[in-house]
Parts: sequence; C-alpha cells; structure tokens
Amino acid sequence: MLINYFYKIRLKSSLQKLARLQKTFFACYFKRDYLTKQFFYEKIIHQQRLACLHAMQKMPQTVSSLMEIIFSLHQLRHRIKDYTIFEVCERELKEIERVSTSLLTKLTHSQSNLNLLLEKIHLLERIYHNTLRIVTPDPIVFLFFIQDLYSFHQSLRTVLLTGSVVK
Amino acid sequence: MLSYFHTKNVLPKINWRFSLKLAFAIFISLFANHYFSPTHQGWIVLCTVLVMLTATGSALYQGLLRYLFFLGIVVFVTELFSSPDLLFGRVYDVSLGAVIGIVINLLIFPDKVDVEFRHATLPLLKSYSDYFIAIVDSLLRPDPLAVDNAKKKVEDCLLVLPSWVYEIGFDITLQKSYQYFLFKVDHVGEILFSMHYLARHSFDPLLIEKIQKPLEQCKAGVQQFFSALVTVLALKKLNEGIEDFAGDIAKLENNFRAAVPLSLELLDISKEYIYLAEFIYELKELRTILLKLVEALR
Repeated sequence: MLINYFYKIRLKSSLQKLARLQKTFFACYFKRDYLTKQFFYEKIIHQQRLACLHAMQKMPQTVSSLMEIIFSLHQLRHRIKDYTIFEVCERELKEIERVSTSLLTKLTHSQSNLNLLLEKIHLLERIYHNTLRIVTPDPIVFLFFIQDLYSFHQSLRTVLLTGSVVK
Repeated sequence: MLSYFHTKNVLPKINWRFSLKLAFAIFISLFANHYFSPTHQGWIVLCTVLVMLTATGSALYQGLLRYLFFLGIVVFVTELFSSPDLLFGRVYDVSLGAVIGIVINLLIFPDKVDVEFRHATLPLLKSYSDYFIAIVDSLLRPDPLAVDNAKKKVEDCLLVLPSWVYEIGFDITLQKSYQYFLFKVDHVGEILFSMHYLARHSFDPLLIEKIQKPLEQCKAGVQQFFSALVTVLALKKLNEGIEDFAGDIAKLENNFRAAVPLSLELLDISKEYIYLAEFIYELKELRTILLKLVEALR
C-alpha cells in the first residue's frame, strides 16, 4: 500500500512535468514567434525535457512512451515555415492543449475528459480535411500531427486507467 | 541527484581540477581571513566559495551576480539583526572574498569550454548512432530489448548535456555556435525518440520487405554521418568522400510509394501507412540535420 502511494506521487510528478513540456510546445504555435525566438523557446524546452527525462527514469514504459509521443507530436514546430497557418486552427489547438494538460496534471481517470479530448481531436481533423489540407504547402505534416494526437489519447487512456497500479 | 543539480546549473562540474581550485581558494581565503579581515567571522571564506560555484563558461558574470546577491543579504541581515558598526567590516570581507574567488576561478585551471562540450556530446552522438541502428533493426526484425537498452544509454547521456551554453553570462563569442549545435543535437534526440515510438507499431511483413534494402542503405548512410561527427569532435582527421545518400532516400520513398498510396485522401486508410510514412519523413529530416552539422564542423 505504501509502495503504491509513493508510486502514485512519482507518477503524478512525472505527468505534471510532461504537462509543462506540452504547454511550452503549444505556446510555440500560439505566440507564433517561435521562428524568430527559436533559442529562447528551445532553452526552456531543453530544461523541461531534462526534467522529464529525470522523472521518466523510474517510470514504466507506458508512461515514458507518452514522452516519446509528445516529442513526435511537436516535430510540427520544425516542419512549418509560416506560422500564420496556425490562425486557422488556433482555437482547436488551444482546446486540445487545455484538455490534455488538465488530464496530465490531475491523476484521475475521467472518461468524460478523455472523450472530450477525443472530440477536440476530431474537430481538428475536420479543420484539416476542410481547410488545412488545401492551404498548407506540406499538408502531410498535419496528418502526422493528428495521428500522433490519437496515439497520445490512447496512451494517456492506458496510463490513467492503470494509474493506481504499481508497475 | 548531483546530475539533477548540474542540469539546473546550480553547481559546476565537480572534478579534480575544480576540487584543487576550490581547495586553493579556501586556503587563500582562510589566510586572508586571519590576517586581513576586520571581523574574523569567516565571511571571506563563505563568499569565496559561493562565487566559485558557477556554471562552466560563466565564471565572471555569475561570480559577480552571486557576489552582489550575497552582499545584499549581508547588508540586509546586518542592518536588521546585528549592529550597524559591523556593516563596513562585513562588506569589506565579502568583497575581498569575491575578489579572491573570482580571480582564482578565472586564472587557476580556467574552464575549457571546448573540451567540456566535446566530452559531453561525444558519448551522446555515439549512443545516438547505436540507438538509431537498434530502431531500424527493430523495424526489420523486432527486438524491443535491444532498442530499450540503447534508449537507456541515450537518456543517460542526455542528462549530462552541457546546458550551461544557454546560461546568461556564457562567453558571448561562443554562445551562438554552441547553442546552435546543442539545439540540433536535442532535435536529433527528439527525432530518434519519435522514430522509436513509430517503430513499435506492427507492420505488414510484405510492406517491410519492399523497403528493407533501401532502408538498410539509409541506415548505413546515417551511421556514416554520426561517425563523421564523432571523428571531428574527437579532433581527428575526417576522411573525404562522405556520401549524402540522397539516392538511397529517394529509392526508399519510391519503394514505399509503389506499395502504399501517398495521396492524402488514401493515406489514412490505414494507420500503418501513416506511421511508416512518418518514419520515412523523419529519416529524411535526420539526414538533413546531420548533413548540416557535418558541413558546419568540416
């Protein structure tokens, strides 16, 4: 019981660090000055990445795979050359960021919140099919982003479902 | 635990050079405390040690910052909790301690940022190469244990990366180039983690068979780039004739296109197609970054 308790504390701390990293990544798209202040953002990302790596050392593979998916997700920041494209889907991205970081910071399995995240991803996918696919020079990068979001949702669901179990 | 503080740049790297430097500084400050201090309260020694605990490459800037911060605390505490008569003596002691600490930090065994930087990034690049090989091999012949072991080595190396290049006060003439290199090295790490997550999915063996040969050639190409970077950072002569394997990448894409429809409408018929398309896309990105780094270091 005691081991379980300490494991839950470590898990909560690890997920909170992931939430901070996720928030910083999304900030690149919302502030739209990533390309001009690259070193400024990358310095913060570097520090948070190190904090996550430290935390993940004692975590099971299901949790550390969340970190891998987040890295995969946010390769988008390197792939887009004109950040004004994010104006098209800014609201949807903000909603995804809000719901995903909320799920990561509160270690409670909430099916309604997980469903809400899925709904937001569907909305983004709809924007992709209707608009992004046409206006983006390399639309495949958004397809990768959306697919990674689905993987993130699936992985997060697994982690939250088994969150009370010691690995 | 110590490596955690290194990542926060709170402590410098503790090695024999720093230990000797610190011991010498403490000796000098004890001498000064005995013969030159008006208060004999040990403020000289305390301040000497404090101003020496700076990140690599920022000895002067961070030393001065720490001196000013400590001076502020001493003045505040003396004014509030002690006799104001002691203020001048303490300010004198703290200032003398700072001078001793900063001068010794700059002159005795000064930071060799190029050596420290190379010592940190060399093992990482080697581990990246092994990790990449393990990822591609696991795609062709699944072996999760080998990849996880390689990933663990990468994570251990990433934890001791020279984050001090991002610190304010780092040598301004070197800052841009060192930060650029570190940024690209971090980017390579992210791509590799991403490729690992993609390679974990199960793929149709027939599809893998179609891309196996060009993928093996691309693997060799990337390995070649990592070897070149390691050679240059180890200060050895780089052999001419590094192939940029653009032809192999093109062949890989052609084989993939022949097996899978690459039009966006049809690509998301199967998740497997998207994962593999993303894997190949990231392989191209990896090639581009490594090519830029090799050209930059040549």
